[in-house]
Amino acid sequence: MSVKTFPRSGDAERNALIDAALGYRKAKVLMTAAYLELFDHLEEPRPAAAVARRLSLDDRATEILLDALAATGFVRKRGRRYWNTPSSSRYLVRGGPQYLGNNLKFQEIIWDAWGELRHAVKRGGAVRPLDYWLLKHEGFTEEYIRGMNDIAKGPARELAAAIPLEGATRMLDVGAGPGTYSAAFLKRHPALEATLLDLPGTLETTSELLAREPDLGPRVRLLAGDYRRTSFGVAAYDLVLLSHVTHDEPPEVNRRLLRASRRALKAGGRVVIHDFVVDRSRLRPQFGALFAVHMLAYTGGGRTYTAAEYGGWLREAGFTGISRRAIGSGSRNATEAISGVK
Amino acid sequence: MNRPYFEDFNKLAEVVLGYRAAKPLLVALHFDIFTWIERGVDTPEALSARLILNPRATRITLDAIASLGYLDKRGGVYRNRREARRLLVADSPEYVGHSLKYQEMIWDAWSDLKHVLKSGKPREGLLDWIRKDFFTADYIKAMGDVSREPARELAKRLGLAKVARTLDVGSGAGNFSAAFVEASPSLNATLLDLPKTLAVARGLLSLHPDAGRFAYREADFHSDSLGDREYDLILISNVARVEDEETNRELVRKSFRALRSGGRLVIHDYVIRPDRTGPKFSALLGLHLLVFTGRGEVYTTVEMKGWLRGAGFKSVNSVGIAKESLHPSCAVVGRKP
Repeated sequence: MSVKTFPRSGDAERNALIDAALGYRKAKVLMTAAYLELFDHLEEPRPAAAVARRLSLDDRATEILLDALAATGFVRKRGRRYWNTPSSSRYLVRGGPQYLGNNLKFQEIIWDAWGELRHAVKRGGAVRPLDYWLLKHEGFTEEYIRGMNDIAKGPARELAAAIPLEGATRMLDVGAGPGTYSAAFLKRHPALEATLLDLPGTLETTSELLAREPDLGPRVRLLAGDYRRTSFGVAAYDLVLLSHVTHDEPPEVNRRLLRASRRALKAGGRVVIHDFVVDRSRLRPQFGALFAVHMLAYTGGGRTYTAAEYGGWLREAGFTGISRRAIGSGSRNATEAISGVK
Repeated sequence: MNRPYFEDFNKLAEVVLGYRAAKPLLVALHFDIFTWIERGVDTPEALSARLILNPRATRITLDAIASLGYLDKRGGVYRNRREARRLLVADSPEYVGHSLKYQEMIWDAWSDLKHVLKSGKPREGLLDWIRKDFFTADYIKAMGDVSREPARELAKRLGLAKVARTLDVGSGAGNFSAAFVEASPSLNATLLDLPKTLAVARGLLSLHPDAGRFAYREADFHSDSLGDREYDLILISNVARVEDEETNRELVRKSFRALRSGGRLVIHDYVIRPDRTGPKFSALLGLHLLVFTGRGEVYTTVEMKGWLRGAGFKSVNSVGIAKESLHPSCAVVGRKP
């Protein structure tokens, strides 16, 4: 072993790499705490033992976790008491209008899928698909769907404002999930009715969420099915929305979905693909490149796609007047609305 | 709306995405992809053929890593950027891959965090892991990766000119003993550790120009004596934090007996502030120790000094090591009268 030159302690590159590689720890701490609904108990200063007692956790372990949360800026600590930062109060306490905890719970559950990434890279897709996680964790479907709802509200409002729908009376929301997008369109267009297509299990949660908006109820039709198999209908809609659906599927399925969408539209009707879009290099935005790995971890063939790919599929399906619109610019998970007209 | 609806949310999102950025890096290292790229196997097709991976999945993973800035992508060919070449290619002198490969294994331990919070300890502890054959060599080398530089700094700060015999308790990869030997021409270093670990260290040090100045002593420091008045300096580095307080106090007492009069004991480890919320690395490390060892923790310098004074050491003081790095540590030193 020869005497080697070693980097200085202040080596920025090395620090950045180690920081990146250890990023999972900070994430895991936050996701675990959110899963356990720990922040609910920190709206007033409490010692670790009190929190542990309320959550039936080990005292020492809870204290170590709380110290880690304090070190990463999610709780404050003075003496032996901990309490939420304003940001944690806003986003991590159940019941608040900006609660993101459902999404974090979903991330926590998906952690195990990410644990199998080595195998997914060998196989070409998830060893265990989303269904496995849905069944393994009781109530996971609901968390998953509610999680989507948490983060969709802002983009849904923006998308609804961006799509021209004069004179429209009927829309189809394919893979509607919690129905956040339909709700935003319905609120903006009083004459509009929406059909929400998704799996039966999902639509149970959708029902519960929509029950909170009684004026929308009569204008919503829930269509339980599987968008890969269920017929979309013929010449029935002014708008077909595919929001955050195409990233779950391989190109062949997306092409089929667009052909089915065209059949379902009236003449002059519009299809809107709303999703993450990456540039031609597939590297930007960074979120999109990492999201593709997320799809690899728990879907059978999902990915993030380029505007050129989306445009190509729309043209192949016979759509014209193809346009693009940025949604949520500046947000970590910015998207685009790419639409075509029949 | 006064400000974008996603501003605060972005901060949260950044943290959560920490795991999505980490995992592709760790998986790529597991397959030694950076090393293969350096050797010219630099397309998804070539890599997947060589490593028996799926080409599309390989491309997705490579794109993710390129988006993080570790690879350049041009016309379907990937190249290591400078950071990757320095730090992630196996024959680079600054390779940190062992450490990161160990993180890939540790991911599973962290998966168990919820269980640890309920029960107070993991289902499998560090000693169980060390017994798994595949684990020891990578774990020891991983610890070695990040200790080379602090070891040199510690050797310099201790002033080893008059030190003839040192004992390195829980010597691991042997970097601290190597740094001591390199710092002082007449110093002889004894490495003490479990048999499997010593085998790894022997392999690493066999090509050292001063290989003759290393001695190897197989022992379990939990149960065995460290000797009787044999050493001028005893080092307990990166050990205290994986043990509980009682074990550490006993180790300090055994060290006292094993030192010659005037000899020094050095405990070198990460430390935590008295309020236990920083430095950030130490607080997160405490959690890591919880999921990974079940009984270790990061101690304060006050606690460590207490162990030394309690065993009869005098002139107990502490010195900071690698102060500017992401993981600063501390050496607590005491002298046997």
